[in-house]
Amino acid sequence: MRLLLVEDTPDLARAVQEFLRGEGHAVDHAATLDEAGAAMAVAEYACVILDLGLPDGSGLTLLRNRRGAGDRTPVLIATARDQISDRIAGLDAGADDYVVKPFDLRELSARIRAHARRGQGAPANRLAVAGLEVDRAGAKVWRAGEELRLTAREWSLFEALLGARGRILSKPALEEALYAFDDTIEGNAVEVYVSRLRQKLGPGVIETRRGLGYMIA
Amino acid sequence: MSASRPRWSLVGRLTRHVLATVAAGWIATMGLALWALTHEMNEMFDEEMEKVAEVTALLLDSAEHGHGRDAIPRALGLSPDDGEQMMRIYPEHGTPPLAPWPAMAEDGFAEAEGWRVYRQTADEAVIEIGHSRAWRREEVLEAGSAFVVLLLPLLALVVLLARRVVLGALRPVGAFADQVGARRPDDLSALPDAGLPREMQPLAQALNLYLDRIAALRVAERHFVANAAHELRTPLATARAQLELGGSAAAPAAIATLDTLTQRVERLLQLARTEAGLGQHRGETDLLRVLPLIVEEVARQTGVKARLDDGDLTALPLRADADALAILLRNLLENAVQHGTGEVRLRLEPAGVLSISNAVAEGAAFRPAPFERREGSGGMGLGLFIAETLARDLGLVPEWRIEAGRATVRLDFAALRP
Repeated sequence: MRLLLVEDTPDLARAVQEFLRGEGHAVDHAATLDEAGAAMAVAEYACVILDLGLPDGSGLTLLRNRRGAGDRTPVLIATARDQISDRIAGLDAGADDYVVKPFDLRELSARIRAHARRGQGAPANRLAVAGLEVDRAGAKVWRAGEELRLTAREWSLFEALLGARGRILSKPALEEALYAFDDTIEGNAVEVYVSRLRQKLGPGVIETRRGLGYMIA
Repeated sequence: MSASRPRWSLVGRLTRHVLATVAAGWIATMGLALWALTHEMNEMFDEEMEKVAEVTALLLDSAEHGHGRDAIPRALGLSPDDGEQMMRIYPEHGTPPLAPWPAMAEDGFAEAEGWRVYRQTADEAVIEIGHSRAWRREEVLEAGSAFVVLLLPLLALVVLLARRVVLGALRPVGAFADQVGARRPDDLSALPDAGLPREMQPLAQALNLYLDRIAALRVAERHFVANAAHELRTPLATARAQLELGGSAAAPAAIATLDTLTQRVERLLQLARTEAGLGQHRGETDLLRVLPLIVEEVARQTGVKARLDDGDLTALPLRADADALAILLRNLLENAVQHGTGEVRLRLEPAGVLSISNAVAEGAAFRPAPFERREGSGGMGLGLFIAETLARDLGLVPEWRIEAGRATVRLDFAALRP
């Protein structure tokens, strides 16, 4: 895979490049925003590893610009900024992942692979279902680019239905998904959460098979 | 501890001082008024004595040409019973009576044995009119008493008015004190000095300078910590990456040491941020934005399963600093992972109460004392101390409980709900 490493610390950049090349990737290096912007404009990368504190500005600027231009290349932020506000800002700007320095190179590589696969159309965890885009690893759902926020119980039920896509799941089977949260489940809990899911996901996503259960076609 | 001093009130003290000054002025005025009254009344009485003497002389004169000199009594008490005023008339060359005042040598006013006497010689007769000094004093005192009695209700009114005036004059002081008292500890914005009296402007300006200095120090402290984090993490990352690449036999041990160092540096930086007042800062933060990130990160780093039940909430906005919340939650979670066993459960109730619990070994206890090393722990004992300090600064009161082999920390975020 072809990767772009945007990092202004030469020794760290060299070590990461060397490691990733050893993993079989082709790695371009940019030490500034300008270099990174120029590289992204001419080449297609499977994943970009982006530092935030660069000599000519913040990596977030580049990320926002690329996302604004419709570039969906997976971006993994690798930075020394460890505060949650920085992380939220990075994810809000369109980053796919956020790693704080110092990091384990093998873990970095694993994350790059996961995001690169998604970007290259091998979406093991990324699905398109009934007009929805679903990220199973990240427990996220979008409709027309807008994220739909599901609660943990709603996601748990939705994921169970998603895992059995095309098959009917009985009410007891769906109750299993909710047992992770409560030892005792109310008799109508499944109906309640299916109703809430329908309100959030829209009509036609979850079908009721009377007397049998529910399914996502 | 020193014994607490009794509280005193500026209004009370000013009212007392104003009233004491007014009372002193009033007493002085009364003294002067009494002196002036005495003087004026004495003049009036003296004039009256002169007139009476002249009228008597005229009567004597008309008596001589009318019914004869012997028709006029030679001694006359105007009010002989009470001894207050007396007139005596006797022949010029006769023997003058010796009481109630002695013989006078010449005409005019004189003071004698408690009497004020006016003597006039007319037509071979001596007319003497005397006023008892005691009577005159009594008359002056009666007049003065009436004056005092009339002024007493006015004095009560003055007390009332003085208190109202003092209260009114001190209202800006009270408003300013209330304004300062109502500020949150993290509020370092300038105090408005518009509308303050001239005397209080220097106080507001001095306070604002002080607040500016604290704000600048706090910003500098935060910048320092942020920069220190950045400057330390990057070389650590370089060293770690180079060790990983080197692949020497000693590398794993060195990497483990480096990771421990990183963790300790991180804790110390968290402590610095905490002590720089991070928890006192208030911002808009969605707990359900922060919490899943922390849970996912700690679970990934430690390999311990952490299950978050969000209580069917998709957002829980709080008035708190996101980084303070994140450090608090991370430390609680890491403490649970480090000192407990098995899966960590995080349960958020819809009312905004978060509980973090997991199983613990027998004898486990929460020890939020800094730099207190525990047996079997490689940490510095800072995690819970930081968590407790941040919770306090955020206005939270954590409940620490160990029951039936499970340790639980409960945080009620109700106080931070907007």
